Amino acid sequence: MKGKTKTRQRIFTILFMFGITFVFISGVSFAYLFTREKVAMNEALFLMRGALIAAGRTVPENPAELKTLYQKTVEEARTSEKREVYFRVKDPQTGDVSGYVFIEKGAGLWGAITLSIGVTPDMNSILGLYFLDQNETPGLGGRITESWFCDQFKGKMGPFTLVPEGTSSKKNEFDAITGATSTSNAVKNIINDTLEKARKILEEDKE
Amino acid sequence: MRGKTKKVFLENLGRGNPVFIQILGICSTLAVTNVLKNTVIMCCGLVFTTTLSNFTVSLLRRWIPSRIRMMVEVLIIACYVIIVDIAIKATLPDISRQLGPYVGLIITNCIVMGRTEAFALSNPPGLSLVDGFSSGLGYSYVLLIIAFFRELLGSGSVWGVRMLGNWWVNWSIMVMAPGAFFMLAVFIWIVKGSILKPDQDKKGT
Repeated sequence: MKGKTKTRQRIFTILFMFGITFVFISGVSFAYLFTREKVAMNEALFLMRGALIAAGRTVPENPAELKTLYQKTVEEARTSEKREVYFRVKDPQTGDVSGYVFIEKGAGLWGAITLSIGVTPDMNSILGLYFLDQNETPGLGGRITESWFCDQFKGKMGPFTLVPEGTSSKKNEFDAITGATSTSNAVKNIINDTLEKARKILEEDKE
Repeated sequence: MRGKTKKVFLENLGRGNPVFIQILGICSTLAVTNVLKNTVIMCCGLVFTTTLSNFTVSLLRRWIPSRIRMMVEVLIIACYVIIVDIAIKATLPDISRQLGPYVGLIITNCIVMGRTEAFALSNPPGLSLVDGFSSGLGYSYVLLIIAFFRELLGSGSVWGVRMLGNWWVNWSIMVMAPGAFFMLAVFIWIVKGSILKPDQDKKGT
């Protein structure tokens, strides 16, 4: 008799765990399904914004306008499937090619840093820079996403060297962040690598 | 009953505070308090999770078999946290990107699990709801105070707005984890030394 109750209790325990897991996971699944499209949309908009900012455009706040601007001015530019993805940016008025945007991933101090960077067709200067993903120390290395840091690259061209915060003057220098030398160095390497790669790709595709 | 509710509510804010009396939830206290904005979102997530998981566990407390109670608690907590995470992703994508893995880490926050274990399993749902809510608040206000000073001293700003002039040299240590240890220690020192008098503090510690 005692053994029977014990078995019963065990079966109840297992069934209970099954039941409660089913109920709660269903709840989470519904929440996921309910917001899936919105999350995907946010992600897509974020990438579009990244490409447009890198191309040096002022980005509209309204998501619909942002999408229209992107579709009107940005297109995939790679010439074959094997190539990495990069984008051609056109002037919305004249339709001329105003620049190219490259998205590159590299090692930061704590994790990967992904950035988009726009260059003029002749590779003479940078149009803009935007950080899509980074896990640097908030308040220190994390300051790379601040606009003063990104905007300082406009009109400049690498290969870059680092100078202390607030002192850059030449075309191939940029301000490092005080207290975040490792992150600044990592960003410098990623940008220099990207620019080198961009130069190669653009030259090859021109032929 | 009303008196008891009030007592439970105030206990978590003062003499039974999860952060400076029980020293729980320290990992997130260190991790997210260097910028005030992230701290606020984190606190909202935690208040939501502690309140609802306490309530749910309390509702089910008569049926949960005691040997698997921790599995059930973690399951319930994890579900609420993932819902918070999904909600932030859908509505506040920029903040979600900044917080990164920290929202998911609410699951392992000792306060949430601690309250369900210590309180919800042996108290009715209404009271557990109040307890969860006030534990969340008790955690939140301590974090907000710490975050305020860390952002002010470490970045010279509050809520991303520059407060101190150019003469101010940022204390880099304040935005790094060690800064949180200092701030937390100073906070505990002040609270225990001057607000909660030692002779009344016997029960609390």
